[in-house]
Amino acid sequence: MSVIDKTRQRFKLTSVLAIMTLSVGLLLSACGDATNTAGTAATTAAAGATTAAGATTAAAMTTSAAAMTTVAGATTAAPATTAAVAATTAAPATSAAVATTAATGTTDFTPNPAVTGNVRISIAPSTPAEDAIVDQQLANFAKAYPNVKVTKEVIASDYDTKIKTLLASGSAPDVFYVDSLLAPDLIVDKLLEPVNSYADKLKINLGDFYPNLIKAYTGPDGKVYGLPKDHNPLGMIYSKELLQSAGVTAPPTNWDELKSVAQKLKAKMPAGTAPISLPPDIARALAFIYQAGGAMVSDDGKSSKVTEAGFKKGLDYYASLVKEGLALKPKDVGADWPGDALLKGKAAIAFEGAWFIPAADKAGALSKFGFAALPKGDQVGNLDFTVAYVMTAKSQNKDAAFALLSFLTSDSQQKLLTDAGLALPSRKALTEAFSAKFPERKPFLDGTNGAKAWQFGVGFGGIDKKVNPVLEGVFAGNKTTDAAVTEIDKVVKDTLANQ
Amino acid sequence: MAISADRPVAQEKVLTLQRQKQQDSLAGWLFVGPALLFFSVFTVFPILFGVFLSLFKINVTTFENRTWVGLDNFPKVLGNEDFQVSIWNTARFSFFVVIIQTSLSLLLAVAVNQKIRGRTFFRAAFFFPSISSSVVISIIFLWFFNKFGLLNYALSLIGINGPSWTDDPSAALPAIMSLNIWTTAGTFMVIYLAALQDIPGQLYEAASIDGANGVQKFFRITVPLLTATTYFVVTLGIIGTFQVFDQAFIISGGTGGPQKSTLTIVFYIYQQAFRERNGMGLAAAAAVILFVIIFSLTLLQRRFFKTEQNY
Repeated sequence: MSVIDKTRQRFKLTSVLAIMTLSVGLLLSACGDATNTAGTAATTAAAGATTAAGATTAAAMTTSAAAMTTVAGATTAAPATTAAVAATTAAPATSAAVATTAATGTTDFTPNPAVTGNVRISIAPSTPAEDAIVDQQLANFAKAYPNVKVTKEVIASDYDTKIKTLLASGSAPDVFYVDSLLAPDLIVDKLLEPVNSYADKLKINLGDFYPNLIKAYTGPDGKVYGLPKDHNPLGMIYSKELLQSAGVTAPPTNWDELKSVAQKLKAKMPAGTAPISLPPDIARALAFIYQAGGAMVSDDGKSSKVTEAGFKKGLDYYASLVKEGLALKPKDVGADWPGDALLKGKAAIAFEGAWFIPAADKAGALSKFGFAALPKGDQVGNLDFTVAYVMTAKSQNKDAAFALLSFLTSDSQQKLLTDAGLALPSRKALTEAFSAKFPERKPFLDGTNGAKAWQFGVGFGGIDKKVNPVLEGVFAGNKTTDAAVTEIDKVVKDTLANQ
Repeated sequence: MAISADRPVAQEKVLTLQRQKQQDSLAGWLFVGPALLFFSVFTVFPILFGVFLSLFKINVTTFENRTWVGLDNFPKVLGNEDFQVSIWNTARFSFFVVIIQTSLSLLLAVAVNQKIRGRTFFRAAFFFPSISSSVVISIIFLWFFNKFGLLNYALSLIGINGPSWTDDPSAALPAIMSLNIWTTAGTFMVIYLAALQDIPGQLYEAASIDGANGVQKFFRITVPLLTATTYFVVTLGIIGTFQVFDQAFIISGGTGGPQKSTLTIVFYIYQQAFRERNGMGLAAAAAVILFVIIFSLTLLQRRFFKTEQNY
């Protein structure tokens, strides 16, 4: 018994100030890798952050599935139901698309087998399927670069936090995923290596990527700090069956139609379900705010635009869906996220990205759902989520690291992801082939038009975690949208002031 | 020996004693050395370093570029609405959990201290949650507390329509409280059990001869003689509950929600340190404040219990 007491007591004492123990990790980082690991381990244990590993599943599922790409099994390719759309877009044959890329010479640069070294890569795959595709890409890499040894590390949850602590302790991997939201922080803090000169050396044209995606990883110095591996704007996903049963022939195309369709659905749907599954998440509400001409932060990332009319108009509309009983949040219907609510038949409409597709496919229900553009407000507006491969500024082996990062984002390797029905390609050359293969996903591709990157500027990494509690209050009816605007404005201004 | 031959015998003895003493103390230091080293490196140093950090504006990833802000972090943290919410949440959490877990563990200890059939089984069963990973337990409880989970199913059998526990601001914290009580009551039960077995049996015999009943014996003998243990249990309980993090983290899906209802002090520290770009100093300041809170509560308790401590 005394042993238990003492261990317990010691544990408590050690973690009296968890944060102080955390600092040990920082200090020890100077002493090299071995000590480092110990330091970080102690840190996490004391902070109780041991939970992180377990929490990931839940967190990843509920919140930022958006920021990640998802894999759909190859089986999802062109379900017969969407043949109508297919006819229109199927014209440019796959071969034609490949021909274009070949002509521009960007398809597969010649790998340089002389590159040697060890490279560590960290990824945050949203599904086991994505993980498997990365494994396949790495196997291809091993063939192209036989002298580079790659070690893959999967970070299952609270990815941004983990990467930041790894960067802090100097033990960050050479190549890793970075979400667009966090990118400005890491770039300004000089933790990433610009890729321009390396790209020039390997004759990789950054212009082959969509400019808005490259812009998300461009620093104030004009240099590019990562190559986007794919992207995902939002779209409207609806249950064909439920819409049909409510006598709705076409999915709603604007805000007013959305409400009238939802009203029709409501009359048909049983208690405990809702026409729309809507999360109290700024990563969804913001698309509607953009459609109302509003924004949260100015484009230069220097001032708050929350108190301007557009923000409140968008938020009002978003919240009104809940207040008028047309939408429920996923948890209210026992679902983890809106897509889950659709799959469980608890909702008919959700606003999510193409990551819904693999989930639906896995449930064998993909053909039951249709995709359309987000219903339009005053203007077209959308959010585009992207993740890039970056390399650490402190990498010991930058040539090998860049070889890996450029290989993973090359046409041939990215095609593995997009062909599997994953996210949308970040490379222009792949888009035609993609839309030919998955014509029913055209609404997602079109969603890129007028979309803003999921990014606000320096210091806004993790802003969703600070804003969402306010939206939860609005959804629960505890807060008016006016009060929410004041609070969110304060959150944004505090964030700006703390940089 | 040539030198000592000149000296009086008494002085020689004193010298030998002194040498002996020096050797003894050297041995003593050697014995406590390793523990002391670990204690300094992993406890004293981090504490001092934490205080040091609280005086700067620091980005966790670029530690070298810190700016001195003096005591500015403290009013900033104290004035922060989230921090105030976290204090209130933690205080409520601590109050209910400590009271319930202490009384529950005492009752459990008394129960399994009886000569009943299968008491070893019950002792093990009650203790079991304490040795399980709190992360795993929290994840299991996530399902348990789901809107359509086991708990609401059980409630529905008696005609109660339960809330979505983890998603209702008024239910989420109590859900974590019950989870915490369930996991820690077993540990404290073992502590109480050991103390119970230290109470001499003749006291109860004497009381029986004087005609005391079970309840009287419990309140007049058991409880007073367990004061020292109760002090220990309550102290550990307060320290533990003020540091609650993992369960809140998992039950809220890493958000501290719904509507910040599960935002605890350590959760706030975690958010500041790792989710904010320049929040490490604020986090350290909040940690110092947490230290002061726990320290003063423990001192207060010492006065309250006012008895000779065994621990």
